[in-house]
Amino acid sequence: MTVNMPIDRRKALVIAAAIVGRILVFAFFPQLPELLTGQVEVSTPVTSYKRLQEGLFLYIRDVSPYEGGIFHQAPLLLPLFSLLPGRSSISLTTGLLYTLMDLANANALAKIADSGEAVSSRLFTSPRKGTRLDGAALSIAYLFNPFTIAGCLGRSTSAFTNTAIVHAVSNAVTGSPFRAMFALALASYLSMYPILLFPPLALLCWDQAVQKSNQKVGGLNMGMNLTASLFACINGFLWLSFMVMGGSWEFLSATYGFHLSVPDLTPNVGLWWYFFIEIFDSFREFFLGTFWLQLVAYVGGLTLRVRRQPLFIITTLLGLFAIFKPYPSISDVSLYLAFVPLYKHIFPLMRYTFIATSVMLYASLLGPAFYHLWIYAGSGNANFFYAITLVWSLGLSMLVGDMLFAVLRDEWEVERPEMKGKEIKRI
Amino acid sequence: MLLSLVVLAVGAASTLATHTSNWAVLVSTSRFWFNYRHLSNTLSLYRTVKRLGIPDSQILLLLPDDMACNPRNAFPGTVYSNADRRMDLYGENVEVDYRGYEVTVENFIRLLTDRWDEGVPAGKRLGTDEGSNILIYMTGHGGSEFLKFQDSEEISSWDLADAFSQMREKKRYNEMLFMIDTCQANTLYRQFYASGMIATGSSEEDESSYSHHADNDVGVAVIDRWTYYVLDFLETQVTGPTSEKTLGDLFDSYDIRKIHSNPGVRWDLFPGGEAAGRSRRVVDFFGNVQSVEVQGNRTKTELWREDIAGLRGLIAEYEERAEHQERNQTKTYTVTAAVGAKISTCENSQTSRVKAMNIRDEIDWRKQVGGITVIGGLAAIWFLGPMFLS
Repeated sequence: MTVNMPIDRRKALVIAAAIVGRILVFAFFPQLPELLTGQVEVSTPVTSYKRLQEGLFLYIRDVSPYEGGIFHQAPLLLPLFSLLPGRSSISLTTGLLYTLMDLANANALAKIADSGEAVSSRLFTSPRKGTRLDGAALSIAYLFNPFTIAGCLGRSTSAFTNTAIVHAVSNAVTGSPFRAMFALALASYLSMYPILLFPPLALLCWDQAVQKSNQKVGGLNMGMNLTASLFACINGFLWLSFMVMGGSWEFLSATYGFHLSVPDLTPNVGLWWYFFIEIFDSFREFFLGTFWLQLVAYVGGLTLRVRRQPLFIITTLLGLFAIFKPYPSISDVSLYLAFVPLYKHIFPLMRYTFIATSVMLYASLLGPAFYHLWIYAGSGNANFFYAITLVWSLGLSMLVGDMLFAVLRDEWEVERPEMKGKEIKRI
Repeated sequence: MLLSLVVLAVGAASTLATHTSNWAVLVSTSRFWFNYRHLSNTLSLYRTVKRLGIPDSQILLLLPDDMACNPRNAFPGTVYSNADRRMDLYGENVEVDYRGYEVTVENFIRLLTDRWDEGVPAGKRLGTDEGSNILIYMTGHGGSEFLKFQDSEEISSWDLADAFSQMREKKRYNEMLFMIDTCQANTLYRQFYASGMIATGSSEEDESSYSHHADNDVGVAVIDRWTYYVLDFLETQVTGPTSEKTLGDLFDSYDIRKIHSNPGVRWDLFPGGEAAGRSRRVVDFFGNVQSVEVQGNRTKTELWREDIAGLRGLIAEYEERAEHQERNQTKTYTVTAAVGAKISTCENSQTSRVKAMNIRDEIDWRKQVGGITVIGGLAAIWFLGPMFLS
């Protein structure tokens, strides 16, 4: 492998800047991480660092961490965090752990970018593949995204899920299907929804396998292999958790049951909490089913329609998850925004970039302000904050929808090259 | 003191009168002129229990309004329960203990449970002990499981049930007869759970209790139907303090065609159930215990010897009861023991998995080893997996 000095130096600089920036804040400005850990945009009932500390406290003292009804995260996080020295709230070691995870994410994203999967997959090559982002630029875009930094400083445990998802994709793109499935299993074990990424990820693995090997690769065979390894890994994680919890399955209802039944309606940037506060109890199960269906329903359609660019399916799904999850936070959005620059080549085809960006900027500035007005100042009410979350979801949906339009148009322009640069409308 | 011991001895020896005193709490809960009949209900019962022997010191009469001196009363200073106006209920010798705005839910419950501040006079207290039989009569406007006090507050069936249960625990009564004449009266005693009570009401749920008749000159209804027929029985059948008429006779005299609603009786809280309850005499609740010992020409020492023998008998009886309780053989305890056994086995199955809490702050080294194994194992699978699989 040739060593290209300027790019390596760029990468080294990026990494150094990211590390230094984060560690500086953890070490010398501990109030900022404290503040961010308490913000509802960063920490939700299933990703909050404070709740992790509560669970850790109980775990160390031989009491079931799910006893108090506060901790709803996966059990395997507990041995990991209990091994870290200095588990207090302003400890440097947790900061280092989260910074390292950010860097690992950046590394994996660089691999995805450098593989060129975004511009040319097995079945499709974009006519605009000249403009392509390289790995270092994507790392910069990810590491210095304010949402990423906020998620890292706030020590939200969705960082683990994000790392697992990113590594699943990067391993699928570079042709290690076992590691991809292992990482996906870890992500699904930690939060429930990443399992919906299995179909596009399997397609990615298969595409890579077909491209790499000379003989014919049986699709069904590979599919069954991947499914089997995914379920074996998930089973392994669940059994490990069972043993870590001292031989009890009660963590299932506290973690996955909690995701499914959404009992905690703490405000967050999502759409679920306000709705589920105001509905009548007799309709609760119906609406739980509807909202989960909303989340699940896009997988099949997208996989079939954009089958030729599985990486884009994953990107869009990540965006949709960030909007329609029961407990979204800005870490989920930062994950989606990490994948967006991969499609820099279709940015010119997007129609609503300015509006979507402005709306998202507007919502991310006003959101904390209205939350403060509602909860602390008492001069606003819940509707202020909920309106801003609606606007935020609107901005995100515009971005997701517009990118989907742009990618579909890009595919269509391969068949109709004469329409390049012309206004089109859907009929 | 000697006399009370004698009375106790006689009481212990005889099995007929197991109570040692009789008290009556007669409550009307309505005010305003058009609720005249509620006051006359209560006053009729007052006259009845006085006739059958309960002294004023053992009757608590709660009247929230003054009908006798009401400016609308065409016959001032009187209260009649019959249009023939032959008997004035109010007249002379009436002792009202709680009048006007003193009749509140709080005062009623305090009265029952005896939770008063220092300095509340004995005339306002229900000074019962564990040998007292109490008659409680309530009348007024009510609904499903509530009774309205003075048109401004309510007492619910649960309040009553809890108050009576407190009385049971504090051993403030031997047996109790609870009578209530309101609309949907039977719902008021639905929630009772203290033992030793017989409850009777004038109408079922969703039924109204009706007034009997009105006096055209007084201008309002003067008596309610159920109370009218109860009084009818008491005046014609229970003629004196020694009457042998039983509660069974009283409740059998209920005639739905005359009362125009379905009166009810609740026996299940009484020890011995309906059989024992029906055999109780009416005067056990409406009359007064008269335990008298004829002394004759015995010397003091002979009397003392009798006292000591009586005391010995009492002591033996108490010791036997205590021993039964120790061996969990008393009747009430067998029920709770069975329930308790069930509860403890359920708890056992849950508590078997809970271990003692670790009070040190550092993590157990076993947990650390386990954690390192888990993390190390996962890392090993990550790095070495692709070599062996795929």
